[in-house]
Amino acid sequence: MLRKIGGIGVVLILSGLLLMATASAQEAVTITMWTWFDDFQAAFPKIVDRWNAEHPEIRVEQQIFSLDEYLQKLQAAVAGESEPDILAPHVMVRSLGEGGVTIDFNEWLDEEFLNSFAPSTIRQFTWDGHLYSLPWTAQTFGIFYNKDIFEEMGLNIPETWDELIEISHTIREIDGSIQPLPFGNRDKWLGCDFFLPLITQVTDDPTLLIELDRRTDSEREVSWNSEPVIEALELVKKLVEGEVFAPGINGIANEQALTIFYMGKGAMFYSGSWLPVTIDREAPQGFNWDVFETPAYAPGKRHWTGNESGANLAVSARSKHIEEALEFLRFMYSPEVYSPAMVEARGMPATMEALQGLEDPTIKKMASWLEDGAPHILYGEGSWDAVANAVQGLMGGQLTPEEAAAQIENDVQRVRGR
Amino acid sequence: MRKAHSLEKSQHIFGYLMIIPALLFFVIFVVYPSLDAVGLSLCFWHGYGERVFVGLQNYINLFHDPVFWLAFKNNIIFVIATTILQTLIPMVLAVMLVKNSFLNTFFRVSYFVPNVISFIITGSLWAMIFEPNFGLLNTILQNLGLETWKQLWLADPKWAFPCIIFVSLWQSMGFYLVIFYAGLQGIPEEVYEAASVDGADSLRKFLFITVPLLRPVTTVVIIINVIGGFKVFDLIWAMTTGGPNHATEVMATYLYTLAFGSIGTGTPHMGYAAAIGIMILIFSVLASVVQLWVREADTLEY
Amino acid sequence: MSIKLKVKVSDIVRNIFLFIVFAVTIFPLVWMVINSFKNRSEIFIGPIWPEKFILDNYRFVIENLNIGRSFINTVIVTAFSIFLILIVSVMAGYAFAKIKFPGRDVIFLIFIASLTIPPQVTLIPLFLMLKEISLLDSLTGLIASYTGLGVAFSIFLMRAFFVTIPDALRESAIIDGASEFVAFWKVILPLARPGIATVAIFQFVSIWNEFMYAATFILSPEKRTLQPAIRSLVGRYSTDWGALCAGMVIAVIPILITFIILQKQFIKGLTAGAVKG
Repeated sequence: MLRKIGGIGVVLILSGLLLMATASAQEAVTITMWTWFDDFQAAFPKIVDRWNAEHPEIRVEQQIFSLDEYLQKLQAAVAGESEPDILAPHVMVRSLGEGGVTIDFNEWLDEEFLNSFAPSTIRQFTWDGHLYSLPWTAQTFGIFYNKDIFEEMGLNIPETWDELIEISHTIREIDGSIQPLPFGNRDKWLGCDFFLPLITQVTDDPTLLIELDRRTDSEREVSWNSEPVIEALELVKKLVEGEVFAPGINGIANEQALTIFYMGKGAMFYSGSWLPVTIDREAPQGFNWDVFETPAYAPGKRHWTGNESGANLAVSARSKHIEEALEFLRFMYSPEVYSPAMVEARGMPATMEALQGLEDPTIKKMASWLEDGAPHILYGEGSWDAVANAVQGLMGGQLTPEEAAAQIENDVQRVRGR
Repeated sequence: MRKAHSLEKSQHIFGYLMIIPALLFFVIFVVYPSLDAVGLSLCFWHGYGERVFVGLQNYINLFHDPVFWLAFKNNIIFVIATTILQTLIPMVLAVMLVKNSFLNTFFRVSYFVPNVISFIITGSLWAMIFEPNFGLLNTILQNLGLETWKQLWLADPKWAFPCIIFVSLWQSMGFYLVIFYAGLQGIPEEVYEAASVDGADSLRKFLFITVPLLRPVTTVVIIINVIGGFKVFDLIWAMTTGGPNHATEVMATYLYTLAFGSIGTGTPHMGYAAAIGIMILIFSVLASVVQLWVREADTLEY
Repeated sequence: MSIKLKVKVSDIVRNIFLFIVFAVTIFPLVWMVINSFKNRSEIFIGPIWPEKFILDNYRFVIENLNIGRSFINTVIVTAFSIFLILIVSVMAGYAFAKIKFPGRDVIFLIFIASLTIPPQVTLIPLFLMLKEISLLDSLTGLIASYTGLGVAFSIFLMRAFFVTIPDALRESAIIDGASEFVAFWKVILPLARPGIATVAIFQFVSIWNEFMYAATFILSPEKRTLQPAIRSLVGRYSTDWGALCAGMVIAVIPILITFIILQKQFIKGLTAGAVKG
């Protein structure tokens, strides 16, 4: 008896689902967009609604996922050739582009449009003359700090890393319960973002890191197991031993470190320009903070800081509606849509016009550092994993700088040799 | 004679009919994708574009991959530790809670509750507890005056794995408890009563009656533990993603990193990842075969 | 007099031990529930017991996550999957335990071997296959996948239960003239209730909490299930732990209720079986 009821129920539900499926198949042109930009949770639906109202013949549907879910979904979709029309390729920009999965924007968009972006952001996504994604937000890194703590302890903004170590000592002496710089490297990526620009700080040559990653220039011999890299690793070690960070750095998640910072238990915090909107959302009222430039390697040297955009957009080459997708992209980047979205999400814009029109003082300050930008995102095979693991080992005290550098080079060689 | 033969045949037919629905789902949704994965392990594939057949190259590369063998070693440690802990402790608890009282039922139900929580919450909750500076564990140790016992827990390569093993025990204890409890119901009271008459105390009853009679259930529990230990992923991923610097890397986390990246990866190696998956399968099957073989060698009737 | 005292002391020790285990078991969950009533910044640092309990997290989850829809989707998927798994694995478990037929042990071993396959490996192959048979982005496809994935373990458990039921019961029924199926249906099945309850609960927990396949195979927002919906609270740079805990509490309650109900069934069936011997 129960079985009968169950059986009928199955048939009913299955038919219902079938109906739903067929119903949704009869639509006008629909463009889908998938991203992981959770800062734009509020802004994106507004943009999409506005577009859909003005363009009934091209319907846009967008979804924002959490990053770990997103990466898995994206890869499965790509494998099944059912990726969305517009997607955020994350670190797969280059491989998806070179694999023919996403389009080369240089072939589809005019120069005028492309020139409207900040040059460094376009350069980041160009390989051999092919542009595989457009930057959505630009980004720089800086050291955020608790103004109250700095004032109470009479601290000066450090210009160099040595000065930073000094004020860390001062902080600890005055109040042992306050961490100079809470740092969470459990998830590995912040350590990478922190360490990689230091290589440029040591050499003043941003092209070195790009070459370490790409290995395309046959005239130039580079290896991770080399002086500049080891020197940069030595600096990290010096900071760890200078007790700038709290112990157990690999057991702390980034957001736990952030909580330590905005609950007043930490004086400084290393992060990117995505942080202001997060602090707005989470920190208690009255949290008094600001940001200063990443310290330089030595007095008088440039304050190189990571300046690569993590949030970028690509268009599927296998999409049946590339033209329509590009139309929507143009709409998203048009000044009257793009600027308000950036302001609402407190993001750093990537278009020249929006950058010049910046009013938010913090973002404006951080955007002024774009010229001192050093690369810090690795797209080559095995690079990122190799560096992430080695930096964790170094920061945890298991590896010496020489060992870490050797490990990175070995890991990369091994992966590329497969 | 003929009647017996056709009886046997009708039994065969009945048997097949009973297993066909299961086989149907199984073949379509498990066997077919698994064979596809085996095929994948013999290719180079980035997840898009062409699959390039390379024979056993992935396996040869695996053989020379120090990270893979480190992960394998970690799996062995994990399997041994969790199998011992997650078999003995639930068994003892089941025996202690076998009588049908309200308190016992209350304990049995509550011990099962951790199993009901998804891995992401369990991993994150415990990661917060183990956090070196403000986490609950170190804070409690500090307040109890046991400062020297404070560790960096998940950040310390020596302690990361033991912490994970502990959390695994915490989460799965109730699960195996339920299985042992069901098994205990199959042992009739009379056996214990006879032993009491002979003057046996609780410990002797446990060792010489309960344990031997629970053999089939114990075998089941051990096999599930071993298999689970070889393919463990979610818990470790949620707590450490295999870090720091591979200290808690196991084969499944390495597989996932190769396919999907721990923070995204520029070039996924699907074929190589599939090969690792097949190796996990081979190791677990070997371990289970050994297990079953040992069990076949002495079955017990009472 | 002295014997009574001994029993009491060992009883007390036993209860203390059990209670300590209980405390360690329950505490993180109590913490999770408490966190769901706290403001997000107080969760990591700050006293365990909040100054005031807030309902904002629950309000946020219910309003923003479309949790009603995901809840229903998950109920549908879980209910149908368990239904199919039970039918299929009770039949097969019985056959593997009590019926002799050629190839039985080999087929059973293949089922067991499939338990060793890590799900990360079959994620993409299964995705591609579902796409081929047009079951991608559908609850039906997810139900079928979960059924396929759940049968091996369920058959394993059901067979183990059936093995403990004496052969004599089936044999005497057949001698009395019953067909195989009637022997199964009328004689053995009623005794298998504890096994069925066990399998149901285990499958309920694993399907309800399953994330990876649900996240990858379902593409449209209106078909999303509970776990991916709640996990969307885990942001790239920060996580709203208060809301996440609230979401998890909402997700956990059905399982707890089901388990408590099935527990009673479980005991009823077990004691009945024990009396029958």
